[in-house]
Amino acid sequence: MTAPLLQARGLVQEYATARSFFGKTSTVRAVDGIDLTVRQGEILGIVGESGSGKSTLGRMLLGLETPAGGEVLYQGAPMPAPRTDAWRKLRAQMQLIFQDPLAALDRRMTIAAQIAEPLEIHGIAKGAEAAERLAALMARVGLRRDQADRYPHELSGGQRQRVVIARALATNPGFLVCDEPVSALDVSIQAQVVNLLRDLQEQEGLTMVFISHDLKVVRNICDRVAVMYLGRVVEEAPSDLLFADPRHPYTRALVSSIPKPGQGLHGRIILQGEPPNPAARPAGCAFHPRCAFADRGCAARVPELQHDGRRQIACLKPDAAAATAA
Amino acid sequence: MTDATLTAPRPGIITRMRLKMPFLVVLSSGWIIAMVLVAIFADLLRPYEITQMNLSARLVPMGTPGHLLGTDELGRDMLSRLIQSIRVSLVIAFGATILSALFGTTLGFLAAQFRGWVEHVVMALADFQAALPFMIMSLAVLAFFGSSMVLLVCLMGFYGWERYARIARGLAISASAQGYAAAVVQLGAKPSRVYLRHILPNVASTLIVSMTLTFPEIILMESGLSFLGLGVQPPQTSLGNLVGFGREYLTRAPWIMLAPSVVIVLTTLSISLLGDWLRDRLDPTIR
Repeated sequence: MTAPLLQARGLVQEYATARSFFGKTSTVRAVDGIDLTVRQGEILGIVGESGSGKSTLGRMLLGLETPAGGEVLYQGAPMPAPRTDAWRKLRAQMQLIFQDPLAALDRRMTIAAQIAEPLEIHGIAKGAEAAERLAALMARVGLRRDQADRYPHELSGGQRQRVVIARALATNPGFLVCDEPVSALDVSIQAQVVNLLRDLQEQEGLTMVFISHDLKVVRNICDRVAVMYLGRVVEEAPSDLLFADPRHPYTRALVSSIPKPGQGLHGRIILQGEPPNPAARPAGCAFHPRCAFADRGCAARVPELQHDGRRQIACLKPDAAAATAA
Repeated sequence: MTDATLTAPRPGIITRMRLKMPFLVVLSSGWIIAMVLVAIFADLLRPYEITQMNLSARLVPMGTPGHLLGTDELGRDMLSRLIQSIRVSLVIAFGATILSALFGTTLGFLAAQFRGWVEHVVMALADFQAALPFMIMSLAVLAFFGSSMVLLVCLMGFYGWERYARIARGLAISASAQGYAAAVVQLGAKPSRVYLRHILPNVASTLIVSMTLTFPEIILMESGLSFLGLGVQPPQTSLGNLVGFGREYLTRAPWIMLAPSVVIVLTTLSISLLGDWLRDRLDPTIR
């Protein structure tokens, strides 16, 4: 087993919600106690519904947000506080790929200037050397040389995302967080970008955390997958195992929702009840109001993440769930 | 142009400018350049001293030989006084506009960067400035400290800063939330780089439009103060001053007021047209 590049221990993040006129502020636990290990050279997928805290987790793993509790260790060292010099220096080693590439790019700068910007910021290359690296970067992500002087609005969505990826790769980072990198793109373009990311990962041995709500994409690209529900990891397993044999009732519902040709709605688990609301977290297992196997015990006790062979699962009644699956 | 027949001549700078700029913009930039030149070379262009009186030629109309724009009630040459006024008014208006844009934008960016109590203080100051009639504040300051050119420019430099501060703060915050500024921060850039290289160029168009609005307002504000006797002090003169004093002779000698009014209108109009065009030129997305 390869060494962990990044470790998260007991990560918690809370946000104060807008207060009503006389009321007190309530806090929302977006992330509620997450332990996670990212090994060197793997792609870890994080899936979950919107509001499950995936993006917040991703931002904390990168050190863009200071967690309210717990810590993140990068190569064994704690993450420096945001916007300090040590933190800025560390940016060269870890990068974020955004969901909306148009918003992430400066409308008034040519893409060449933007791709080369990290080199300038971190003082890595200048003049002819920088131009050379720029050309290499653009070639690596499949941008044509004549597009260098274009502005972001003159490119297509897929090309813009390539620009964002090239900029993220400029400093040769060891760790990338992709926050829904393809969900703003057309399906035909999605495949190109996913393939690009996978090729880059294979060539460079990049370590990636891939956040998505799109299970097809996650299955395609990830080595290991963590499923999140209301700020907690409910199941974590190697990708092939998780998709072939999901154990947690929530994971099973998710996996069954992947459309298969010619099957219609047959065999799908349709979840009942409200979609999760982090401001009103149910007592006990957060999933129990929507779970088909829940009983009174589930409403009383919070399940811990427990090892079960190659997987980890947080369910009080995994056997009941497994029995009906068989 | 002897070699024009051999090679296609590269069009001159005038031709290239004309192709790139709309006609009105050419006119207005021409006017502004002329005004700036007049302001710089005022001492050479003036036919008479601004205080030189000729009591035998009082209130002569426009077009009188020797006094192209006529004379005022003391027989002072209006052309000389107009030229001097243009210098004084332009120094005040340009100086104050730039000062207030710099001051307001800096405070706005500081508020956006630090948030918290810095933002509260800046916004409270902006509200204070907006609530306080500027004329009254200027009257108080000028009455206490006496009028001087430097003080006048600095004072006018406070005119309208709250607008820039609000605009700059709002746009900077939305840029950070929107992504491109956050993305650059995430690349490891220092705040100076984020604000000067990314946010400023992106918000410049709005600020330029705001400047073109402030410029005429400052000219008018200065005229108001001069008219009340607290702005530019006689015998020194400014455009507003001329209009103010010419008011008394409006029916008998309208030329005293006419020339400075025309200059005010044309200059402010040119600034607006030029600013509008510049904003469009600076935005690559609508080129």
